Amino acid sequence: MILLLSGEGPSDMGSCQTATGTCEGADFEPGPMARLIDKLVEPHWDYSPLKTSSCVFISEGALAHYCKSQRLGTTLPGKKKRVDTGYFFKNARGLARLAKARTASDHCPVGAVLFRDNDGTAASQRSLWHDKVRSMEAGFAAEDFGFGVPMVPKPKSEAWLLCATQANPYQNCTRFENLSGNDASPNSAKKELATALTAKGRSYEDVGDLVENGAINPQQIQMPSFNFFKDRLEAVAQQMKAA
Amino acid sequence: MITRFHVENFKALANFDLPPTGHRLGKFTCLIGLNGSGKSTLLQAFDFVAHIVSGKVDAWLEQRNWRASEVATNLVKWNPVVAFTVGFQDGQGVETTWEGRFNLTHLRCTYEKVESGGQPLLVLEAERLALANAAGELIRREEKLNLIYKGSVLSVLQLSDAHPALTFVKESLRQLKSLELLSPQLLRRRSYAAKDIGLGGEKLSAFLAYLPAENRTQLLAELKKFYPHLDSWRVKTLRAGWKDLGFREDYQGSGSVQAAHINDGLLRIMAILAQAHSPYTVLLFDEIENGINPELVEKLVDFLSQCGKQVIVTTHSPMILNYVPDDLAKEGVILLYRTGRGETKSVRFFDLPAMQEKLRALGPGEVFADTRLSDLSAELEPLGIGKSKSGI
Repeated sequence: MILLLSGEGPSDMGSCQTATGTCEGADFEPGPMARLIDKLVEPHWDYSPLKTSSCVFISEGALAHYCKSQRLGTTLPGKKKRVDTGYFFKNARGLARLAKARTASDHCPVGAVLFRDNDGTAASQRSLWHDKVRSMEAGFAAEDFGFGVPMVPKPKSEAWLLCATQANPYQNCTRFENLSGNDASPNSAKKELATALTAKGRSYEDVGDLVENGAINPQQIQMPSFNFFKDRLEAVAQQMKAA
Repeated sequence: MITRFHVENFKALANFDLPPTGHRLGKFTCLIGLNGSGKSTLLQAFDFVAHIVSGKVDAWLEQRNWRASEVATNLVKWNPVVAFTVGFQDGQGVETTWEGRFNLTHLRCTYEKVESGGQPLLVLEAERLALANAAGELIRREEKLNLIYKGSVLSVLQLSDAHPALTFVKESLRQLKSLELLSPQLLRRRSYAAKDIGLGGEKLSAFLAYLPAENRTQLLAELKKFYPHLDSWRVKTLRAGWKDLGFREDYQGSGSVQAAHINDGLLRIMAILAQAHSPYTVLLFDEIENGINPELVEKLVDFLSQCGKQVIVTTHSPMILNYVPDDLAKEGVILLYRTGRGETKSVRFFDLPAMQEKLRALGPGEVFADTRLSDLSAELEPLGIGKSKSGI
């Protein structure tokens, strides 16, 4: 089984060691979000996707380029699809198409996780969380792809990590979804996480290790945007195993 | 080619630049924006300035059934002066600008200045006129200009000994054609001897009647790309010289079809394609997509962007934009929006970070359709995007 992962950069899903937009195995340098995925999937598959080189990474730029090069149909807004969600729809559809191609070539189930911060980039700041998630689901569905997982932290991935690294870990975490996603803001999720890590004598560079050694335990994070992602990922992991 | 246009005090264009400061107009410009954002007003302003240079402002007002006073913006206290600057580039890359202040009461420019390569070639100010020749030497100076003219002094000046850039300015604007009100009803009408199509497409049949045979054949070939079942078109001269446009389709048993009964789209496409055979070098079309099936849009966009003319269109259609290549869209798709004070401003749509990001995965038209322009317009003003250097 293979997981196809796409994120925004090294600080979330990861990056390629080589100057390519797509990589796997030793060329893939997983970020904290890829490690969270690994920890959540491992109990269902009975092995670690990362340690068994079962993850394939495609960068945001490479995925956008692929979407543009493919005839993925025109996405127009309507009653079923709100404005400012086309970017997510198209990326999900492109990722689904890549996953299906990989399924055909490798003859094994391939799942896909599409990561985008809710308040991360210029395009993503313009629509609501549930509209983004729905548009990703619609993009997966448009390719008739059943193993797609939207991963949309609210406001950003730092809020999920903050839940585990705050002074009272895993307590009352929903409030972190109301932090600002703008890094320049005084109460931004990024700044709050940096403060929490500093209090523990850690920095953001250590986050991957903290997930790896269990100090950040995704099973204990309780936040609406995380719960949605976790439930969907675990369901897909089970379905892939049963396929 | 027109490279930039600045206008003040023309309806909602209180202090407006196209394109935004620091950029230049290319061969193909696509204006987008909400209803009422000022797209049609901008086409009117272009046409207004073109009529100033030819001294036919009266005719322009009459054509639109406007009073001169209605041209001025109603956003501030009424001001009789419409100021404008038009930038041009000739085939050798030389930049020329024509600047003017048109008085709506006197229907003429009280100030004009033409500069080329940084050198003043014509200055009209406070009734004083100075005119330069090709060498840049002063060939005419008048302290009290004794000329009766409407619009621009360029409309009446003898320019044969003057710097050729002055004729270039005049001709460049005389070769601007606005078809901003194309209407199927007017396109269908029989017409009487005319060398040109009217603002709304009237006199199409007469214009076509005078097209040289070679151009007629070419026009038919171009039309067939859009309508493969079109067999031929012809203009019949009726009694008293009235021209009647008719078509023949190649469906089995079909006879000729008069313009009155042919589909709207074909007539519109024909009027647009026919402009390629006109002497005009700058063409303006409002809501270019009207009456045209999405299947034909790619051909239309390809034609407009490759016809060799400078083309400025307005559109509400994501389909039109989706067939514009990304590079051209980044340069040429310009969003018009109204500020809180009601002034129309412009911004290159794909200069906006969110639009750039979307364009990485989506087509230009998809980005347009996927964006709520009303929200976007509200976001632009606080950012100072598209703001002119000075307020009104």
